[in-house]
Amino acid sequence: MNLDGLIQKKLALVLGVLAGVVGVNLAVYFLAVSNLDKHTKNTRAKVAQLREQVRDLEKQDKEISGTVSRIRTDRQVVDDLAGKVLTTRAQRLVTVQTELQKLLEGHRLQADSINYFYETFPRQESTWGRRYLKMGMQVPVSGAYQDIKGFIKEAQASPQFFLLEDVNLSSGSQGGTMLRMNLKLSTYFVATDQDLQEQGPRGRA
Amino acid sequence: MKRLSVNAAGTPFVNRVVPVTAMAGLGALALVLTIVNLTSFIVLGADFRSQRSELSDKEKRLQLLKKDKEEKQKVLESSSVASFAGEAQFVSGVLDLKRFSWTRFFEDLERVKSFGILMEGVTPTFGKDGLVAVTLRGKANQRGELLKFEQNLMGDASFRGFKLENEQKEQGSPFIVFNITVNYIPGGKP
Repeated sequence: MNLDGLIQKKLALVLGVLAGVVGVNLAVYFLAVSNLDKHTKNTRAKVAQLREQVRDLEKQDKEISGTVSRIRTDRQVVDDLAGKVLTTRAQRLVTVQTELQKLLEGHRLQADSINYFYETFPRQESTWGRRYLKMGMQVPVSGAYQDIKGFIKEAQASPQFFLLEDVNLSSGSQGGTMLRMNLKLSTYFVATDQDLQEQGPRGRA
Repeated sequence: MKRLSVNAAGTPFVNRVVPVTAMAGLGALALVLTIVNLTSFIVLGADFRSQRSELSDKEKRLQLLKKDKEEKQKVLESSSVASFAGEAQFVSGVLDLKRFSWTRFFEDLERVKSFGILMEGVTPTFGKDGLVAVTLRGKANQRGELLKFEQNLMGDASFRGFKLENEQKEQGSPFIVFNITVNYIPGGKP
């Protein structure tokens, strides 16, 4: 059979097969490929949306983690301060008084009388883990300005947690080299049940 | 009636252009479409699988983050944290006072204090914004000394927000009693 014969005889079959292949391809394209393309685009859009959400949440999570971590650190600092530095009045009061006396003498300052006053914090019953007892000390001192400055410097650096709240010059001290000053010092203790009973409900001595 | 076909050529001519063109065209179209479909399947399939995998990863990460955030939020909203907030604020105030360097403050005050000024009282107050407001109470030997002191305070970088609260001449003496409030910024730069 020559080519012409073959073409004539099988033309319909070959064209039919080719048309079938084209048809199948078109069907595959419209039914499968285009759907796959649509799904891929949808998935990509979802991924982009999720990526945005994840980024936002990661940012929020970082901020919250920072806050939680700061709270933990702060709590540790407060616990250490209360447990290792301030402690209770029974544990530290005598040391505080001794240290104050030592500092006054070390700077040649005279303090004839010291008035103490107490206050509890928080004043009312609260949800704090502990309460604090503030012991204020009104210390009238007389001495040279440089000595008073030296005393203040050392009192602030003392491990006995002295706080200087205010400084007042006593009357009648102007004119000479000796000054008379009222120093309002304070320190804090962790309040015990006994302290709270002694201070009463308003926390005043 | 049968159609009469007359061909007078020595070698009968058969026109193959139309069927060959049709076959070639359809064949080429079929080939191109097959290649396009196969390539699309391979490329889109790989892309889809990668997107689906990323989607799944992101969903898992999102769930994890939501859970983590909820847990931390619970910690933050817990009563222990709420109660600690008050205590932390109180301790922070105490530590602010502890950190305040009186000696540095005295040095800064000595720098601006004019000769005829006698300080009688110094009281710092610590604001929530970290600002230290200081109340200065004193006497000036003649008003000119007070004015000089004011000028020095206003021109010094460690003192801001100067405010003269009152001044009053003492009976029978050249002294002027005054009250000043000023914000103290340790190591303030101009």
